Amino acid sequence: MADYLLRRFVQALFTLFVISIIIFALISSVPGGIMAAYEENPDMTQADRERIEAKYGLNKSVPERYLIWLGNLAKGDWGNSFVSKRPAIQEIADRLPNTLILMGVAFVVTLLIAIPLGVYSALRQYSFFDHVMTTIALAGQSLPVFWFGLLLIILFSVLLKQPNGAPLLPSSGMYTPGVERTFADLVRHLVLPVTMLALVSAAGYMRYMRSSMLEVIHQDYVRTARGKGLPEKTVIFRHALRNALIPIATLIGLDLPSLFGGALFTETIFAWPGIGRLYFDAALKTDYPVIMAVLMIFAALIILSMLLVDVVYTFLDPRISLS
Amino acid sequence: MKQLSPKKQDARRSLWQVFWHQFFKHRMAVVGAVTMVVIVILVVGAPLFTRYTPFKQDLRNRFDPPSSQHWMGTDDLGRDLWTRVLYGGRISLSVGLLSMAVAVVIGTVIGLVSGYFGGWVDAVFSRLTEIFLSVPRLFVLLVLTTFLRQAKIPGIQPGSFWPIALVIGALAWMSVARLVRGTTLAMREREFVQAARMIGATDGRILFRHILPNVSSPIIVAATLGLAGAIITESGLSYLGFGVQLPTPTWGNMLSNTQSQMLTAPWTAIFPGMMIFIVVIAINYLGDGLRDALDPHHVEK
Amino acid sequence: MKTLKGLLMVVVLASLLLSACNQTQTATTVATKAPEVKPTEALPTPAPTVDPNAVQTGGTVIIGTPQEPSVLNPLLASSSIEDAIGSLIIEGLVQVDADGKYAAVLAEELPTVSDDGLVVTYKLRKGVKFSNGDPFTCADVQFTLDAILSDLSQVSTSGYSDIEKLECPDDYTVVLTYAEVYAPYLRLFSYILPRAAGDLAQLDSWDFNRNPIGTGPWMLKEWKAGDSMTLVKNPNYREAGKPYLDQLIVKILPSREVGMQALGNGEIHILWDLVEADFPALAQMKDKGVSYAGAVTGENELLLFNLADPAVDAPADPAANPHPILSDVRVREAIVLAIDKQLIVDTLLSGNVKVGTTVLPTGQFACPQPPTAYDVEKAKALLEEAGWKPGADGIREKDGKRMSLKITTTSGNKLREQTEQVLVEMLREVGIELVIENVPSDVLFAGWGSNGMRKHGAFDILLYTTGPGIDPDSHLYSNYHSDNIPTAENEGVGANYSRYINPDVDQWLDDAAVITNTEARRELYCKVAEQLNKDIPRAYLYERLLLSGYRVELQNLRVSPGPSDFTWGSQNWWLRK
Repeated sequence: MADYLLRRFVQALFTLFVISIIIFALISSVPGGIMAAYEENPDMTQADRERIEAKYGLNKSVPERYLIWLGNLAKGDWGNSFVSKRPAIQEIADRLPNTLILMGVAFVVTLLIAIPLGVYSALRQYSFFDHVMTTIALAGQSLPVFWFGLLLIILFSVLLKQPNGAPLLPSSGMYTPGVERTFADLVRHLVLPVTMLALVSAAGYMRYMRSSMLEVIHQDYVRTARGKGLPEKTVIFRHALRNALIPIATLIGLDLPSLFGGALFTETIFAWPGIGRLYFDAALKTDYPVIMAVLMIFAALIILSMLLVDVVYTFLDPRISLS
Repeated sequence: MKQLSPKKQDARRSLWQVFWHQFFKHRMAVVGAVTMVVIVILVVGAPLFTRYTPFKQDLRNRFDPPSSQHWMGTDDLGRDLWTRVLYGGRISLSVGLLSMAVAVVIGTVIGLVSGYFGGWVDAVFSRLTEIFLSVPRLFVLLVLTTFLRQAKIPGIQPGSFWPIALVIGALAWMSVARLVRGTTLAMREREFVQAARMIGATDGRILFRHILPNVSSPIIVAATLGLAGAIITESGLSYLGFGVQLPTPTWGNMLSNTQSQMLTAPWTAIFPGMMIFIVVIAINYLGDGLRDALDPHHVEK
Repeated sequence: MKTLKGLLMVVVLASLLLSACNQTQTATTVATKAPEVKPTEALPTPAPTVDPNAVQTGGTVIIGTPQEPSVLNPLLASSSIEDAIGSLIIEGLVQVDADGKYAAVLAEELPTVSDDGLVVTYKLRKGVKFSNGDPFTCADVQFTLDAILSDLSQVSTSGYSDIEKLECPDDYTVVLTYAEVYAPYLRLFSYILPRAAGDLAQLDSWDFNRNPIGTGPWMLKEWKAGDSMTLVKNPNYREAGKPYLDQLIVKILPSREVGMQALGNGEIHILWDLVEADFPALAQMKDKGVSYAGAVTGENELLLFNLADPAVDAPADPAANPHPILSDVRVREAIVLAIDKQLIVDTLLSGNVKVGTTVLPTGQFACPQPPTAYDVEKAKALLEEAGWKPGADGIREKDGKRMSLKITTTSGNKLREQTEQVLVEMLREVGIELVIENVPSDVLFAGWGSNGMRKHGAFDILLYTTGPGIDPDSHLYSNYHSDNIPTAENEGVGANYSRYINPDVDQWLDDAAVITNTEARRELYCKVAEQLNKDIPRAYLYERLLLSGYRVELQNLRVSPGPSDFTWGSQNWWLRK
C-alpha cells in the first residue's frame, strides 16, 4: 500500500509538471496579455511600455519566464499579482474560506438530495414519483447555468418581494454591506447560489445514482440475496447500494475539484467573493501569476481526488486490487 | 453476405422485437423520439415553415412581443425569432452531435483499452486522462477557438462550426473514458470474460464482443448527457463570443446575447432557452429508453 | 397513464415559464418602444443646490461596480474604476471637472506659463492637510514627480520626462522648467502623493497601494477583498462641514444587469459604468426613482479602415502595398454614404447620443463638422465609378475580385455586435459583403510583440472606440501622423493603424505640438479634422458617453470626462430623506 501510494505520488508530481508546462505555454501564447491595457493610451511612450514590460519580466522569452516561475515556486514563491501587487498565494488565501463555505454547503445539499432520490427513483422505476424526479433532474441538467442563475435572480430578487418592498433574497455578495455581519445574513446570501449549484449538480448525480442502482438490482448476486429471503432492507442497503455507489464514488471524486470549476460560474453570477471570481477577474486582466497559481492548485486538487477515488474503489469493491 | 440459419434469424428477430417492445414500454422515450423527429424536420425544412429569412432586419420593429406576425416576437435587430430559432437549430444540433460523437469514440476506446489491459497501458492513458481533466476545459476552449479563428485551415470556410465542434468533443471524452474504464475493470474479472479468455478468444474479440456490449449502457447514458453538455458548452462559448460568429444564429448565441434583455424582452431569452431545454429533455428520455431496451437484464425479466 | 403524467409535468413546467414571461412582457414593451428620455441635451445635470440650508447631512451612499478595484495607488492603477475610486481619496493640482474643463483643485488657480512656454508656475492652496495630518506642500509635488519617473511606476511619463527641473521657492509655489514645450501641460499632476507614501524602491509593496493617504474628502476604513470597501470622512478635509455624507460603501456586483436591478430596488445608490445600450432599461426604471448622469468623452465609436494590404506584414507605405478594396477613397466614401448613422443612433441607442461627424466633437478644441449624408444611390454610383460591378449574388466584383471585407471588433460587446450586424445589412444594399470575425479585446488591442492585429495591419475594418479626450495633442499625433505607422523598423510604435499618410496633416500636427496658445492650436487641429473627413481613414459612427446611473434621492452627482468620472465633487453629495 505504501509502495503504491509513493508511486502514485511520484506520478502525480510528474503529471503536475507536464500540466504546468502546458498551462504556461497556453497562457503565454494568447496574444495581448496585460500589456494590451497600455496600448490604448496615446500618452504612453515606447520607453514607458518597455519599463513596465521589464517590471513584469515580460521582456524575457517564454522558456526563460517558465524557468524563473518554476525556480521561484521551488522556493515556495508563487509570485506577486500583476494587478494588486500582493503575493498571488495571499490573494487566494483571502478568498479560499469563502469558496469553501459556498461549495461545502452546496456539495452536502447536493448529495442529500441526489442519493436518496436516485435510489428511491430506481426502486420505484416508472412510478409517478420516478417520472416527476426524472423530469426535474432532466430539467436541471438541460438549463444553461448562467441562464438559470439569471432566472433565479429575476424570480427571487426582482419579482418576489418581502412585505417591506425589499427583494426576497439578495442577488449578490456574501453579506449585506453597511450592516453588522450575522450568520442569518450569510444564510440568506447562500440560498440562491447554493440552489443553483445544488439543483444543477444534483440532477446529474441523481440520474447516475438511478442508473447505477437499476444496474445493480438486476445483478445476479442481488437476486440471489433476494432469493435467499433476506429482508428487502438488507438487500438494498447491504448489497445493492454499496455496489451502486462505486461509479458514484468515481463521479464524486472527479467532481470535488470540478466543484471549484462550478465556483467559477456561480461566484461570477452571484458576485461571491471567492476563488472563482478571483480567477475570472485575473483571466480578464491576464494576471499571469494569479492564473498560474489558481490553475496549478486546481490541478493538484484534481489529481489528489483521483488518487482518492482509486483508494476508495478498493474499499468498496474488494474484487479490484491496487497492485 | 453470410447466410443465417433459420434458428439464428428467429433469435435475431426476437431480439429486435424485444428491443422495440422494451423501447415502446418506455413511453416518454417514444415522446422524446417523436419530439426529436419533429424538431429535426422543422430545422432541416426551415424555409418551409417561415416566410422570413434569418438575417432580414427591421430596426423600427425591435423587440416586438410575440404576435400573429411574429409568433415568437422579434429580436434586438427586429429579426423574426421563430425563423432564427429554426435556422439556429441546424447549427446547434450539428455541433452537439459532432462533438458528442468525437467524445464518445475517443472516450470509449481509451476507457476500454486502459481498463482491459491494465499495467503500463493503463498508466499511460490514466496520466493522459488526468492531464486532460486537470487542465481547465473552459480556459483551453477559449484559447483553442481563438487560435482556430486566426488559423486558415484549408477546405474550411471562415465562420464554420466544424472546428468548434471538434474542439468541444476533443475536450469532453474524459468522463466517458473514466466511466468505461471503471466498468471494464470490474468486467474483466467476471466469469464470462474469464471463460472467453479460457477458450482462447483474442483480446480484440473479448473487448468488442463481450465487454463493449456490457459497458454500452453507461456509454449511452454518458452520450446523451454528452450531447446535452455539448449543446450547452456551445452556448457558453458563444456567450463569451468564442462560438459560432454572428449573424449566423445558434441557440447558444441567440440565448447568450439576451442576458440584459431578460426583463425588457424576455421572449428573446425564453424561446432559445426553451429549445435547448426541450431538445435536451427529449434526448435524455430517448437515452433512457435506449438503455432500458438495450439492457439484457430487462430481457430476462 | 404514468407517462401521461410525466408529459403533464413537462407541459406544466413549460407553461409556468411562459406565463411568467408573458406578465413582464406586457409591462415592458411600452417603455422599450417609447423611451421617455430625450436626446443629447438630455444629460440631466442635477441642479446644484442653491440653498445650503436644504442640505441634509449624514447617511451612507452605496456605489455598485461590476469591476473590483485592485489597487488605489494611481501610479499602479490599470482600470477606470481604480482611477474613479482613488479620486475619492487622492486629489491633484489640476483636474478635469464635470464640464470637461481643467479646474484647479490643490492649486489655487490654473498655473501660469511663461511666454516661451517653458516655465510653468503653480500656486498651491495653503493649510491643506493629508488624512494622516501631514501638511501638503511643494515637497509633495516633488515627491509625486519622482514617483512617476521611478522604475516601478506604471504610468505614462510623457510631459513629466520633459521637466528639466522642479523648484520650490517657498512651500506653496511650484516652478517647473520644461526642456521643450509640452502643449498639454495642464493634464499633468492630476494626483498628488504624500511623502509619507513610502520608499520609491519598494513601490509595489507599499501599504499605500491598498490604503492610500490623500487630501480628498474620503479615507478608506475597510477593504473586504472581492466584496466591498468602506470609506469614511477625512477629518482633515479642507472644506468645513464636508463631505455631507457620513460614509461611502463600494459594493462589488456580478454584472451590470444585476446592478440595474439593485439600483431599481434601492440596494445601491450609484451604478458605475453604464453604456449607451442601457438607455432603454434606464427609461423603464424612471418611475422606480432611477436617473442617470453622463459626460461626453470626446471619443467616437468608429470604423477604422486599413488602407494597406492586410496580406503584407506591417507595410510602411500603403501606396506601395495598397489595400485591394479600401485603398480607393471612393470606396471609403461609398461605405460612409451607405451607412444610416441616424437610424443606428435612433434605434440601437434610443436616440440619446449624437451621430459622429468629426474627430474633435467636444471641449476646448471642438471642431464641429456637418454630418455625412445617407445616400444609397450616390454610394452605388461611386462604387460603379471605382469599377466595382454587381455580381451574380448582388455582391460587387472587379477583375474577378469579390467585394468582401472582414469587420472585427471586441467579442462579447453586445452593442458593437448589434452595430456590426446592422452594417452587414446596410452595406449589402450597395453590394458590399461584410463578414464578421470578432476577437477578445486583449487580442484586438495586443501590442507589436504579441503579434497584435492592429499593429501588424492584419485586418480590413475595425470597430471600436477611440478619440482625443480632453487634449487632442497626443491622440491626433499618434493616430494620424505618418511617423506613427507601426512597422518593423520602429518596433511597432504608434497608433496610425489605417497607415494613413498626408503631408499636410503631418505638418499641422508638428506645428501644433510646439505652441501653448489654445486658439492657435485649435485652428491647426481643426484643419486636421476637416482633412480627415475628406480622406476618410476612419468613419465616425457616434459620440461616446461616460454614463452612471443613480437614485434620485442622491443630490449633486456629476460625471467628469476625466479620470475622476462619477466621483467628481463627492464632497457635495447628500441624500434627500
